Amino acid sequence: MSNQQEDLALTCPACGLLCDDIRIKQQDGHLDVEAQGCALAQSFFQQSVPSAHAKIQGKNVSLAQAVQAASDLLYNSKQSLFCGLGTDVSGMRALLTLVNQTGAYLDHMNSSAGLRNIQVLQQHGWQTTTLTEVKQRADVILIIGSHIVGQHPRFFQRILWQGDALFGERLPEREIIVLGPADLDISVATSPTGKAAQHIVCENAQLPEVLASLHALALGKTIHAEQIAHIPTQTLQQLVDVLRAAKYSVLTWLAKELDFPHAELCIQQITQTVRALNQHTRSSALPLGGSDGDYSVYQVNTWTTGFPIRNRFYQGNAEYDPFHFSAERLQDQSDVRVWISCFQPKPPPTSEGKTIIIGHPALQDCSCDVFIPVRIPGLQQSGTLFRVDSSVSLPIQAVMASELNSLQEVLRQIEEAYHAH
Amino acid sequence: MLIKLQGGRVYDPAQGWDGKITDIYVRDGRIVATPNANERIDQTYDLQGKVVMAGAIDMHSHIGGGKVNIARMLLPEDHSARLNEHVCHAGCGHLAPSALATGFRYAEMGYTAAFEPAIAPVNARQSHLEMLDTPIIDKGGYAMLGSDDYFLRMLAAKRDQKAINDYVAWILHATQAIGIKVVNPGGISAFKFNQRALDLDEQHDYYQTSPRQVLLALSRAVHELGIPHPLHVHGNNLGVPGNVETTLKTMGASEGYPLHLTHIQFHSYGNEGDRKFSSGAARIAEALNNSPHITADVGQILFNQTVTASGDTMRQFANADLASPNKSVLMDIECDSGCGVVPFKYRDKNFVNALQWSIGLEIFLLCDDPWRVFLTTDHPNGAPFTSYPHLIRLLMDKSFRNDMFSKLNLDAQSMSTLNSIDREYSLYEIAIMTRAGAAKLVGLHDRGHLKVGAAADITVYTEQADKEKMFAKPDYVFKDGTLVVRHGEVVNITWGKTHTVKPDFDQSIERELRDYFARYHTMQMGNFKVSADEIADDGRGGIIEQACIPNREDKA
Repeated sequence: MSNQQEDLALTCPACGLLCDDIRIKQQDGHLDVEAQGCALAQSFFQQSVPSAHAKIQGKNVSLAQAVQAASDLLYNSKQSLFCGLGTDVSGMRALLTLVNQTGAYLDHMNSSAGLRNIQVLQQHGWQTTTLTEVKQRADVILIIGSHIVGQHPRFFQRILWQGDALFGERLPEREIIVLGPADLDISVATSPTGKAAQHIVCENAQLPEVLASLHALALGKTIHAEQIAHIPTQTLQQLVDVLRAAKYSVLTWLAKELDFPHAELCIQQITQTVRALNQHTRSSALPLGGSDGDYSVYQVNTWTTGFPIRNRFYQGNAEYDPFHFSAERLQDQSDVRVWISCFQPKPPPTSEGKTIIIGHPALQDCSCDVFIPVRIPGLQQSGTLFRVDSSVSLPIQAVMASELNSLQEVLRQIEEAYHAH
Repeated sequence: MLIKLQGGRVYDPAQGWDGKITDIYVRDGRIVATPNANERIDQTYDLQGKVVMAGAIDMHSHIGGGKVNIARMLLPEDHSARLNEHVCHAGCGHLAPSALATGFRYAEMGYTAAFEPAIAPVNARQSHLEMLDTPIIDKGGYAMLGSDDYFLRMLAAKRDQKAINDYVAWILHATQAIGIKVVNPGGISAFKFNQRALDLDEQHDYYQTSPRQVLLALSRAVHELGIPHPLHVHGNNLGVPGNVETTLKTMGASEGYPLHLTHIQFHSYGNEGDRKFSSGAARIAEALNNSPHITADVGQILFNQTVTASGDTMRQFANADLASPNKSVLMDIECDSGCGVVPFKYRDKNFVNALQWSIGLEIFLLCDDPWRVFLTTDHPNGAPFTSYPHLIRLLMDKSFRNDMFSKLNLDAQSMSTLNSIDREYSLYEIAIMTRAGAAKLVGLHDRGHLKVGAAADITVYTEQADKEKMFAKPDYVFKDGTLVVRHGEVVNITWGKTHTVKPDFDQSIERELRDYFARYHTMQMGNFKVSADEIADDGRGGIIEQACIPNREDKA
């Protein structure tokens, strides 16, 4: 592919940042991350992939037999569930074609976190930005609930510190403020010039009241209480003053870390604060996170059905319900579960019903009715993924040979066998 | 396979056929000359009494890309209705239909091509992915420039026109586009620097460049590179009362280089009267009639719920308070562009909306040359494209139009001259606006007409007094010679191709661009570019390269 020859760098699918500057060295069929990698990139590119075989009830069979068994299970199923959905754009397109025929529930393994954001978008909308805008413009960054690097190890280094300035001589000397739990190590946010981040200690369970107060202050309201969740109101007022004085502030969070009931209401306070700040200066929200192709799955599903995720396909119609159609709720109500995880050998949650696993070769030891190994996208199979900021999508490359088929090819074969019934 | 379409009344403005009764022959997807008497005809369609036209072409419709998908995601309520009983794949929606529904709905109305007018270059891959999943129709798009920092830096640094031309050509290759669009020239970028308005001769705070300079540089580049479609301009001050002055000045800003002013209805507002909002249609139409280098599409509004989706973050931010339902999405995008998605409900009893409706129709009816004015609703901004048959009836049927007018907000009626205009569009004029003219404007050399050698994109209607009914449900639609619609229903699913232009340019500019991406961006240049392989989509899609005729030396 021409893109590869030009840049000689790979795109890493391990997290939503999709760093496309990863340089690897190939030796004796083994890959070494040479430069720009993080721990996630290393474990993705340097994994040793076992040779795997299609199986029925744990016994090796031919691909054709496994495909037939999978299609038999789906054909005889009264209600199937496709979940996991760790795949890329092409895999999701093929999957939607199949479930349109078979009917099914559909859910992604990360959707609990993803829907916290999507529900805010669908209820109120929001004002957001993308990674290059953050790099070039953000002069104040408020990070809420975590320090980001657990999910995106290169967030600070690659997005904030690396590169040159488009506007002015140097990239902005940013104010980084972390509103998060006491046990966060915020030294990861200290800039290469030694500028430390400010830490406003707030346990995540207390974020709802703190963020609601922040929103109120951003709207110019007065809060009479002296403290909000042990934080002096004055500290919050100072924070709002900093955000108001900024030319371009960015408020960011990881939905996965905001794991408490109705976290979407908390995220809404963040996005409404952004809205209030934009009455006078510029500010943007930046929802971070993402892995296992989640953003790609939401995008493809949306242009195909109109809905992001958690769907029921029935007689050619798609329905959407972010509550009722969760895989966790449905896995014991459906008689056949298809678990898809191509990027990582993530096993499905245990379940009573029949299970078909299609995915990473290292899933071969999972107990299930039918197992079909497929190529790993971004390592053995080229494709396309959407980055966390949604506007950008990137090609992912095949750099390792594989005897296996791609997910889309396997799904196509299952569809063909399903039709033959 | 040789197909004969026998005895239809053919409206083909490219050949001057105004209802000529003739036979048309189709072989291998193309229109062919009358075969020898001894050649076997495989299939004959008796079209006596039927109206035959080339497949219709929508030259401006937001059908694929980031903001369209945001619009879909923002409005799950739009997709819940089961509108698609005969659709073979889940996927619906009305205001922001799914990719599949988009292709079906267009084909069902006799449209065989549609062009996405606002491809953010950094988002081109997504636009194409969505369009690749849009069946039957051909597609293509215009790449947005003019608020991207690479271009504004060039302009501020006073780089020569050749360098700008090379960049424009490179963008067309990289995004697989067929034209160049500018949205609120410089304004999307200015909004990122907290400017809230930008008029034609106002300076961008950071770059110290004006929208006029942006328009001149880009329109000249498009002309010199020989890109058939003129610079596609969404002007400054969209929706602002009094913006007619900006629009009239914009017509002169290119110093004679061709410009296409899109959704001009939204840019034709005066600020007279008690409510400081009035029609500028007559002035706009007069200026258009006197400016042969200007073309326009209308962007008609029609009354009902819709969703507005635009690259114009500055103006969409200003409109967000009018959102109905009350939610909107705004984005700054990658030092490249932006977008704003704001749901909206146009009401006939609302003074402003009623006058917007009248202004659009006044422009249609007061512009003399149907080769230079085009039928759009700026889907979905003015209304969804599925309302085109209704719009055609408004243009062709004066008594229907006046009946609708009499139901409008009374203050708006008193501010409009619409019911004094007698003009009714003819079938021939409709064929110009939606076929021959649109193909010529976009640069589709083998589409929009029925000459020998043209692609066999053909629509057959039964003439009816009610033109809305006539245009809503063609008898037959052929796409590249394949019957895809019969009696208004899809009978065959094909996938269409992607139209592009590939002007020559100095490839060495990639050195500078590669460095620019490496230094300032969060993606590499190679990944920014959409490859032909991606559009080929394992054989289902494909690129059609339309010809460019460079004009480096001369000037319009």
